[in-house]
Amino acid sequence: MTGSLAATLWAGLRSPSGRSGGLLLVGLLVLALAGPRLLPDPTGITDLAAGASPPSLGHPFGTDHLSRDVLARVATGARISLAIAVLAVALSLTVGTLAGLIAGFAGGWLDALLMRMVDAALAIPRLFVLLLLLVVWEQIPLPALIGVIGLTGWFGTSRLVRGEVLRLRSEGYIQAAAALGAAPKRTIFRHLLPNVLGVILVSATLSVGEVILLEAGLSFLGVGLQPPTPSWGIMVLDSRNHFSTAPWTLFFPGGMILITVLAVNLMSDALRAAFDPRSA
Amino acid sequence: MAAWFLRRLLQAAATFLAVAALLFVLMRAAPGDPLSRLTDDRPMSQAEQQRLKMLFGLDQPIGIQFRQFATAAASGDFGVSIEYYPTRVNTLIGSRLPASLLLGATVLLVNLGLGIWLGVLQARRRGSALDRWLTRLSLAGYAMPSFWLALVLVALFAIKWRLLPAAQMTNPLLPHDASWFLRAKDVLLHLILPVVTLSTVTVAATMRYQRTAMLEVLRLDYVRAARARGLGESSVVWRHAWRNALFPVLTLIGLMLPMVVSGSVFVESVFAWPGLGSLAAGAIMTRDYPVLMATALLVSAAVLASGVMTDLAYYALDPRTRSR
Amino acid sequence: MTPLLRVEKLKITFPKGTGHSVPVDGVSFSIDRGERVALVGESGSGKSLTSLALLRLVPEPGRIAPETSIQLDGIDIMGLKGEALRALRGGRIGLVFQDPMTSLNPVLTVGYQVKEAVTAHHSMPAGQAKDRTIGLLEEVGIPDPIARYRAYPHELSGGLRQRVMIAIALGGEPDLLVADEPTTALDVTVQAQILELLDGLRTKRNMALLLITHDLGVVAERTDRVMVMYAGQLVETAPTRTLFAAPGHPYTQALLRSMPRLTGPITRLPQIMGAVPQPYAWPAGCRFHPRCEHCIDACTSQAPPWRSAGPEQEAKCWVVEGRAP
Repeated sequence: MTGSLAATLWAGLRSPSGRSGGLLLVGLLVLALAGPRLLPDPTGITDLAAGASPPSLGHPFGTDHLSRDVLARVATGARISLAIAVLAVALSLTVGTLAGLIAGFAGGWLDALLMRMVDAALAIPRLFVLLLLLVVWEQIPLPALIGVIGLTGWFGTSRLVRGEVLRLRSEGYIQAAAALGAAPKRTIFRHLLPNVLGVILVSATLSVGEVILLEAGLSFLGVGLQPPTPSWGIMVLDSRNHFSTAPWTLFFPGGMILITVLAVNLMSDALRAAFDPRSA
Repeated sequence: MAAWFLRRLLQAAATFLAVAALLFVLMRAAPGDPLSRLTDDRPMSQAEQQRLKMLFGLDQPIGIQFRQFATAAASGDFGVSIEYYPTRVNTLIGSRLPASLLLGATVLLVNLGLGIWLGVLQARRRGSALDRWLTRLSLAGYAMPSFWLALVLVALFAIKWRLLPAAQMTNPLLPHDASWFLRAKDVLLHLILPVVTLSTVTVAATMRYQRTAMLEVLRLDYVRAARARGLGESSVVWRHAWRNALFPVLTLIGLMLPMVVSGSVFVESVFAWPGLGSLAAGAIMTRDYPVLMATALLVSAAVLASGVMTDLAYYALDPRTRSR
Repeated sequence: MTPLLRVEKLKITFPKGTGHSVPVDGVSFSIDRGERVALVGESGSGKSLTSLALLRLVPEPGRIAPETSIQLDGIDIMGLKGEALRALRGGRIGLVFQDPMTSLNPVLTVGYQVKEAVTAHHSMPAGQAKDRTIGLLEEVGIPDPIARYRAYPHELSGGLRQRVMIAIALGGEPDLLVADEPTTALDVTVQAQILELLDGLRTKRNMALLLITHDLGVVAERTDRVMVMYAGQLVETAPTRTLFAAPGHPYTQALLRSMPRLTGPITRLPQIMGAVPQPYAWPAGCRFHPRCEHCIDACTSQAPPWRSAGPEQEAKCWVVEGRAP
């Protein structure tokens, strides 16, 4: 089972969109991991009087109005954005899959209750939920922020997983396994998960992109992360007052968001094409 | 059919109550005080203060508070705004709704027109250079942060090239006795950049969905059968293929419908467009909780309503749903 | 008298990997006005593709080879474009597809789809179009046609849907009606009705009928001539009676033998050993030779020519003589 899954993933990676996306992501990872080590301290203000300066050899992305190297800040921002996104999505996936499995297998009132809750949660735009929370929780620590973002994003996954459970339950081999006396846990891991995994993976990669945009947006609106943390969203917010004289302070952080989400979406596309070739 | 519709409405109403419950739990569970700005030198009447405390105050007994909250949600009355006292929350929302409607409706129309047409075009010319380029554009559009695109457009079109206004819906310097034509033109000019911003992101999604759906349908037997009948190509594409490929896009448009009400928090904020989105963005900054909560509920109601409308549309457009 | 339809060297290729597969390879035949011809073959023989080629509806990435020539009443079909091609489809040649459930548009009414076929070829006021449509529905034997006009495909039974397909194919008043497995998706009882319907329509409108099927039983009574197709090529043509009485080609003989019969001694049903070859790997020489019990050396390396096997009967075989074994 896992053999063919790995094969499908590999095929996905080798496709053109998989390659471009993969390449971009690798570049981003290098930036995120090595950047902050190699580049000057992003919070260190070296020369206040100098102000913003355009891109040059010493500062490939230029400096902002507080003379901070933009590239260094962008690199740290990469770390932040990627970490938050990956961790939050991992949380969403786990909770969502669990909820979907429970609802699909248990059925009855538990299923009905869970799904009613999911329906209600899906009706409230995720942004608003987070706004209502973060406006009140003013100094939210980073782990809590990740937790909160993750816990507002599991509803779609749970519906997906539940749908798959119900579909697979009605197919012959699950019943056959049960007839042979296989315990439910075995059924789940051996038969169900491999089939569901494909769908979940595609949705997960898309979610990473969504979370990056969401976190950047929240920072832009002034909630969640706060300055001087170099989150990309905050950097765009900072540039609002200066971009007519220092357009690079707007261009680069925002561009990074675009590239990162694009890379992740390309991967998601490649995965989807690999799992379901007809949709290309 | 009427019975089905009624049941669907009741379902939506029940979900709305669940939404109110969830939001209530959210409010109480967050560490912090929703009414933290209430005491900042506000000349608010005792009665108004009491009302707000009853709805959002954390020192209230849960049972009573929830009943108040649910009633407020059902009736739509959340008291006064903390920031804009003595304006009532409803009045505030009501005054901002038209601008959001204008923005949202325009974006929706652009999607229905341009988004669908481009998606169909891509499907017809699958594999061509045009298809590949449009795919790249839509991927980029999909990945674009709307607030950033808004700022970039402002930087280029409003500041650098001075072609279009940078903010707001109208020019405050327009004389009072200006003709309605001039007023309309004024609003239109202001509308362009926000619409382009929002459309870029949404059309990207619409195009992708439409292309995929169209590709699926175009290879089906009945499309070939339509050609065999001697029908012209545009009839085959639109009357036969598209008529079946519009369903996923219908769902997508349904998901975009709430935007007609809420505008977009990011876009309206950057352009200072006087709609619900910028109201929410302002409420964030001023910690005006009643306004935020009311907006959240309103948008949720819009989401549920558009869900019902989407179901209705399916019912009208897909005869197979009717013979149940 | 010049034939209505003349097909010469029909060859259809599909790209496969770095090469090509050739599912239809050099098929030539002609059909006279008003003639009833059957094209018989198993699945994979290329018969459906042949019918699609007549309307230039071969699905991408398939291509009809440039050396192919298809002439209808003197019109070169391969050279048609745009409006002329559109007029041909349904107007001169009507095609009844195999599966009526998937070949009818689920969101449009049955009446609308028939009406389309009518108005695509003859412009007329709306009222007249509707009347003509209802007339067609009646002609194909659909009970209560006025009510059925407003019905959707999923509301009709399989037999009725097939009749609708036939009505659509007739809408443009074609000279040649091609029916691709018109009875395969139907119950046995309904099959006979449909065949009878086709026969009656043909007589009434003096159309030529090309009946494509894998079922020899369908062919026996209602056709004048049979063409047998195997592995992308025609292997035998003969008048129907002759074919059944004295089949020339070993493949035809084997096919007839493997048909279950109601009369005669009860024996094991003979099979044809082996399997149908794939379009990208046609056997050398005679394509049937790996499965043929009369195979000789020549068959394995040289493609056989057409040889006479009787009056108006030809078979593509090295072994065939003037009569059947």
